[in-house]
Amino acid sequence: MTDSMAKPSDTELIESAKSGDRNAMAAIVTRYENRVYRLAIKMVKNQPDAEDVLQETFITVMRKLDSFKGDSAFGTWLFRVATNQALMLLRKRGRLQERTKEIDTEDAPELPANTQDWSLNPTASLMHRETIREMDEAIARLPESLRSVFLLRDVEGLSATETGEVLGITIPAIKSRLHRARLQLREDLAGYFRPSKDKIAGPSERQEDSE
Amino acid sequence: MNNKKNDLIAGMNCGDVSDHLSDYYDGDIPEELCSKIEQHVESCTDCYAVFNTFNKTIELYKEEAEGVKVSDDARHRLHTVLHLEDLLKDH
Repeated sequence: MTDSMAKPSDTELIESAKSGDRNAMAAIVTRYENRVYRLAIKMVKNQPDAEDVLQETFITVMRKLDSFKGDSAFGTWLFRVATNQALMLLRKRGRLQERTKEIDTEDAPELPANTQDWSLNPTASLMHRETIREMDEAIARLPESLRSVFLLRDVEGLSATETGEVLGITIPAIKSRLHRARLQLREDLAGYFRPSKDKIAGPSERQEDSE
Repeated sequence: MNNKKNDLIAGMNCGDVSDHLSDYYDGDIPEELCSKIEQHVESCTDCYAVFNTFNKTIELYKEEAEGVKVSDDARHRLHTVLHLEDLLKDH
């Protein structure tokens, strides 16, 4: 089955929603609910809190829809609200350890230590439950200021400019934090995927397998 | 390991390559620097592995995130609190 009608743009939906069109409101929610939830659960790390963030985000957005002027993309605004909700919740729970200043002035990360190449393993073979748990734990180990940049840029696919608008920081800071986050996650996963762990075939085993 | 970390390959050492992995991934560097990184990575087994696993790490996170979805119950509660429950559609 193919869509013969183009989906309405965010701008069109917002305009309709502002004039009271409930179908447009529902379409906005449906379009973004999974993305907001995904950002929330990676930030607050548990389902009930992520669901609270999801609700509070959409309640806030619907309440303030009339004040949205379209100076930034709707998605950028929505993610800003969601990020703020998640940060407020973390602060309330006493789980926000902010050391933003140090992050941006720290020396460059050291050279990568783990240099096994596990990348040739098919993604499907890497993505089992234990790996996903390890990936979540690696994200959770990131300082908040790196985690939110990584989630917005690499997981949600926002541009550096949009991410800067969401977080209120400069593009050089976004780039620096993103790079640190990626290096740290790579290092953590490389440690996890070490052949000695016996979870996946190491390089020598792969060679034997292919013979 | 076929070279020392401070050895220059294509005018770059391993630290230079590591520093530019994100810029390379994001296509945010001049072509000439791209080419130098590629030459270094092709000749350095450690950087080759780091380069590949760096890209793979990002790919894995993107892939994993695709599977994260809000539960039906939470969706229903969300649409209810927004007074849109009568318009709730199944995905």
